[in-house]
Amino acid sequence: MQLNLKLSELKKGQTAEILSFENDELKLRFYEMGCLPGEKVQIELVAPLGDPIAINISGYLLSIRKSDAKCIKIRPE
Amino acid sequence: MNKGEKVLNVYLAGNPNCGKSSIFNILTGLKQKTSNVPGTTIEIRSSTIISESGKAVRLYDLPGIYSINPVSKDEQIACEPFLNPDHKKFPDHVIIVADASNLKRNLLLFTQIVDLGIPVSLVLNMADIAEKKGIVIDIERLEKELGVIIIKTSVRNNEGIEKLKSLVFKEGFKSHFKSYEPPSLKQFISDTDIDLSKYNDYQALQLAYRNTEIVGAKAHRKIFEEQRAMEVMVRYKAIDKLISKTIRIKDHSKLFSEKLDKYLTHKIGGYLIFLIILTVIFQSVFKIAEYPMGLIEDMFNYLGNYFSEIIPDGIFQSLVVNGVLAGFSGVITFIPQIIILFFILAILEDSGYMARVSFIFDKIMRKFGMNGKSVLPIISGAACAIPAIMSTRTIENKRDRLITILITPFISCSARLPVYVMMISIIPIDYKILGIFNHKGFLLMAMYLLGVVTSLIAAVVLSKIIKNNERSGFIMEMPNYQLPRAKNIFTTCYIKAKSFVWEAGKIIFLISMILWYLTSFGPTEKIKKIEQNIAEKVLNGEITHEDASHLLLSEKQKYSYAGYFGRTIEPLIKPLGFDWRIGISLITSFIAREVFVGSMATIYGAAEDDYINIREKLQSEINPESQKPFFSVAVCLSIMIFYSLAMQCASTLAVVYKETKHWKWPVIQFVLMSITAWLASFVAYNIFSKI
Repeated sequence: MQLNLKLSELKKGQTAEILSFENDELKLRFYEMGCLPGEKVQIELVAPLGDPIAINISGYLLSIRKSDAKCIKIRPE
Repeated sequence: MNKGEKVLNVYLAGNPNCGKSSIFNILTGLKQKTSNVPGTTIEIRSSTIISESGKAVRLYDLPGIYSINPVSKDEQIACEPFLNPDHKKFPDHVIIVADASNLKRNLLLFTQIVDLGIPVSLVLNMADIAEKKGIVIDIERLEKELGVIIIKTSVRNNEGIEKLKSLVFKEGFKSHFKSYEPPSLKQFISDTDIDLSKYNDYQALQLAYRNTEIVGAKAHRKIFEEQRAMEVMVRYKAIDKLISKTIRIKDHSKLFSEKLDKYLTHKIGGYLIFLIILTVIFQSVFKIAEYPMGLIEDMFNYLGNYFSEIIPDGIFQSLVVNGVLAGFSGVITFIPQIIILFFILAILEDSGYMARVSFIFDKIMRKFGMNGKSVLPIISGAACAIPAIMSTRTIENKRDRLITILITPFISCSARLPVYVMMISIIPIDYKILGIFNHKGFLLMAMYLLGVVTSLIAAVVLSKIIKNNERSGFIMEMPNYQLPRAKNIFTTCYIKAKSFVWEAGKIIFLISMILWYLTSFGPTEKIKKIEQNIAEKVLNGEITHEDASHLLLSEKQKYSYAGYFGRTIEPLIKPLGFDWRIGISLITSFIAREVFVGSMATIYGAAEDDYINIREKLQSEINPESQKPFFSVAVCLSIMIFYSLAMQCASTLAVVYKETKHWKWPVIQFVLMSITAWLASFVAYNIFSKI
């Protein structure tokens, strides 16, 4: 099992656990939306041009840009 | 309502996409007022509603937010009444609307508002979707844990609506649910002038966040950001615990909604479906809008004739017919387009499809300094820039929204079409491309393309200039698909049309009155002389009565203030191949681009609605300097390009002001677009006059 990947590196359909955020400014925004360390995320959709991606987090779909997904450290399952 | 009794302030608050707006519509009907939070572009809807027993409350619909931590400066201002118990709009009761199918995230806002010491109650909306997702909520237990009234609703199935209606008049409860222990700031600030004794600890903390001076230096910002993130984390921990006690998830099959995304965001299918929807939109905007617009036109023609008959000729008649009526028609003609476009946009928004459009276009739009949400407003600009600009409200990022507003008028709208058609019909070229394509179709397409390309270039340039001051990131919830609710859609159309009439209408009316004055009046002496001259000519039998009336109109326009103005700006437009007559038409068509056609007809002494007549008159016009036809290929192209790129629309400027709440932006937009149009026409004229 790989450790410490970034969310942007996850493939469609894969599930992972959020570990931490590298961008402080975005962190709060993500926290408010329910993306917290310890939560499970799954890549649900990838936009036709490969970016943005839609993640399934605590039961709803959230669209985020790859550049923002880069600052989310995860552990794939 | 008893006199002297205080009208209670009741707020609806909740996350975006929780169905809050339709709840507000159900509670208030059409009896609602939209007002701007002073100094911001945030609109808050409100309505005074009265119960059967005569009790009155003022109900406010707060914009959808995920937390009370503001994303933008505007949001910060909009939240102010919540933080200050002395504020005259401080809530007496906040009804928190939560999406029952996504309760965890929706409860974050609940806990924050509770900690501000505000009495609340909770509405679990979209109960039908939650049920389909297999979510079972133990409402009694949740009520006990939170200590507030909870109502389960589903707007679609009319579930819980009666209870909701009576809830508005009930009192909220201060919840005993504790999820976060704010640090006490009172000890820090005992030595400042600010009296914090009237605030509770969480209010004080929020005030401190907003006003870093309370605790000192800017260095605290970082600590505050940390503190806020901590707060959210701690709250979610408590919410998780609460949810494990009250919610159970049964097995369920995949929702239709979840399957639909496979197709609607498909690599090829996604764009194809969008294209089909788009075609339907435009067909309907053009086709359906034709009828009411025709009716409105007929109505104003009828009224014009009517008033011309009952009011004797003279200034007063002209004021009523060409001033007041024209002003009204300049406002009212836009209403069908606004209503139809918003009807369609509201369906797309309400169904959840809008978020998917943004999703599949985000990467493309980002290259041009905008985001996925800019796509539909820009495309709508091809029908009319006014509803298009009004629809940019869905773009949260202020900079992206501003860029979208500034570039949308470059897209060729339906009012440019008559100008294009007239110029293409007189342009002296005739050849077929590849033997099949007529130059007419090609030119028309080129004009539309010119608008699209210029708007994108402008967006790139603007995105380099305008700084992004907001928290970065494009994080967007993709709501479940739902059938749109008719009532919601009609309310949206009504509100949009109303806000256009009241906010932009006033400005449009004023501008059209000014234009009326400029075109109807000129130095009196000169006008008298012209009238005498023409009367003499008729007497001498040099011209017929009909020609005389055309000539009179034409001469009057030439020597009106607008005419003088047209001649004054001639040196400015001469490099584009325009003369003062086109100059006058540029000025008069500022009220609406299609007026250009009528104005040219008047100046050249043709009947206004006789296309063939206008065409002949224009084509036979000789340039006195070169002795060749005045409307050469170069001049025609130059006019078309100018109309394609210039901000020749007072109504759009009025709407830009309404949407940005600042005169700076319409002025900048007008100047930049005029310069762009001038340069492009200049280049085209010089290239084609050499060929």
